[in-house]
Amino acid sequence: MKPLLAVRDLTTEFAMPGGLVARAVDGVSLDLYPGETLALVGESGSGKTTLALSLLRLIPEPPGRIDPAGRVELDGADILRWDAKALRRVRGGDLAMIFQEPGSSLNPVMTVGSQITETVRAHGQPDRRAARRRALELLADVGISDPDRRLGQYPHQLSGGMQQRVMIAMALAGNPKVLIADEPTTALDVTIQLQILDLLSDLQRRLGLAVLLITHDLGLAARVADRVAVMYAGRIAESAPAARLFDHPQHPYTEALLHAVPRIDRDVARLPVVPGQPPLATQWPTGCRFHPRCRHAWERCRGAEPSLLGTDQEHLARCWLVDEPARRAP
Amino acid sequence: MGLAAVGLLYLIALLAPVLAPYDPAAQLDLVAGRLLPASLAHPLGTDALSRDLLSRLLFGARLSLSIAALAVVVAVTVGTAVGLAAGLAGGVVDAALMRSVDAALAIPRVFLLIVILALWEHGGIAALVLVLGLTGWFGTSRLVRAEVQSLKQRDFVLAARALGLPAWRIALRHILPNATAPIIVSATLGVGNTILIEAALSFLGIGVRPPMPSWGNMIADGQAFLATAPWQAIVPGAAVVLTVMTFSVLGEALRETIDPRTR
Repeated sequence: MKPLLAVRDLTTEFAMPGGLVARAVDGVSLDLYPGETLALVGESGSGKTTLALSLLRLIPEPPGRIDPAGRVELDGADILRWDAKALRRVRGGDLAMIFQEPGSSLNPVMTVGSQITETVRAHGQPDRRAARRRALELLADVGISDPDRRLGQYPHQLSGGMQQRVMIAMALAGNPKVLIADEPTTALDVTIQLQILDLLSDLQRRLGLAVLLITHDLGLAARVADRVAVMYAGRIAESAPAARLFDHPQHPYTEALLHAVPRIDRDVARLPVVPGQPPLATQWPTGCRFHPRCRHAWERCRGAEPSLLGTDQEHLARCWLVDEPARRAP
Repeated sequence: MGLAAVGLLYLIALLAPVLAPYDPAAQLDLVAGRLLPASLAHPLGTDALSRDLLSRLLFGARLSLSIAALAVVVAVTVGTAVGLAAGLAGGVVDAALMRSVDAALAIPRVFLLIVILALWEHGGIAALVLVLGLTGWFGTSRLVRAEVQSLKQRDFVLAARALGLPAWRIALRHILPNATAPIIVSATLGVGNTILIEAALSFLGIGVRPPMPSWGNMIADGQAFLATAPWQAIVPGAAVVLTVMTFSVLGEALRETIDPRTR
């Protein structure tokens, strides 16, 4: 099967004060297939959000810069080469995105209705009344009751979960093929989180969406993802089908992350953590980027960075242990 | 309350022809009716040319308030356009526009006005409005630019871009409406300030020129008689002070209610 969205060697850098360069995303390749959910997990600062914004060319340039050697192919066409007009059509068109904070992602001085119809009209439905009808349909689609009344309300009159539903409705206005969801539930209450996740899965089934779910929450990834890619220090550390990744993690970083998830059935005095600090994007460690925090690290890890290794193409890990399993520390 | 007071002021100005007992330019009785004190026939007395002071004050209000309002409309329009352009474009455009504004702000406004109006002698009221407006937008442009710069970092602007909305639409429908609160506040304070400057210019004889009554030239007319008929200068002076205060009160009240940063 051909991927719907194919990312190849995407590198995004930021020029920092003092002449430093932060390479927030460094040579990332990803495939997203039609109808699947790919979870991109990682700590704060691992480059997840920068990657998502780079896919839509929404990085402020300057100070940001996307390396022209990278490619982001949607149905085989490289959108990094497109001009501003074509980019505008693909944003909110084939490629839609929702954000972490629904409250601040909606314009406080415009009604929900005018924000949705505006998006509908920007994507090929210029007629005002037809756009309004479509807005009502979209609100009903995302499970908002009494959509007629909601259209006339301002964002602050809605609850957080309702606001995120409105954001999703807006993202759906252009009939996207790919939905990028950047921490869509992080700002919401736990019960509302589940409702939004269920809504996303439901929409995905009904509309055949491919979803790139960006999250730091492994539990959430386990719940909805078909495949998981773990990001560390601007690179993909491990990628695998969800079940395989959670049952048999190969990269010590994935292992440490899974170990750090608090479990209700284990009584511990202290929550386990991944030792050390995440590195800075201005000075990634040489060799394997995880080696300063890795309990298995040996000379080879300090000297050279592994590529994505694996016994089969489905499960890849950027770790020398794949090569030399005997080196695994007890 | 400030709003009601300003509303009342404009109502009075609008109704000046109805409220004024006499024609403000009519010289009623040059022999016996000069510099009369307040009486039933002339509630505020008459001036040195035997014109009814109340009528002149009312017509003066009409002129002063409309000149100030129109000048502020010009100033806010230009200032908003420049500030929006500078804030959105950034880089060289922003630097060029803002350094020009800095340079313009370095010239004292009243001197600038005096020079322009002295050279443009026959421009009349329209010239006065235009010149007051075009020298009054610098502050607004700075304010709008700062506001736009912070607004364009906001999540909903990023979200609007991610939804593929055109840049002009984001500028006019998402950024500008969120900046209206400080613009309205500064416009209100600007009206008071402009009334003051217009009065000063008219006092100096280069703003509203006789025989048209304006508070400024009424004060100028009255200053010769400060010892004998002090109300000649005090009445229009008090009108200026009260009006400017009203606008300040309204501006502050608006700032408190609609500008979220002061909450």
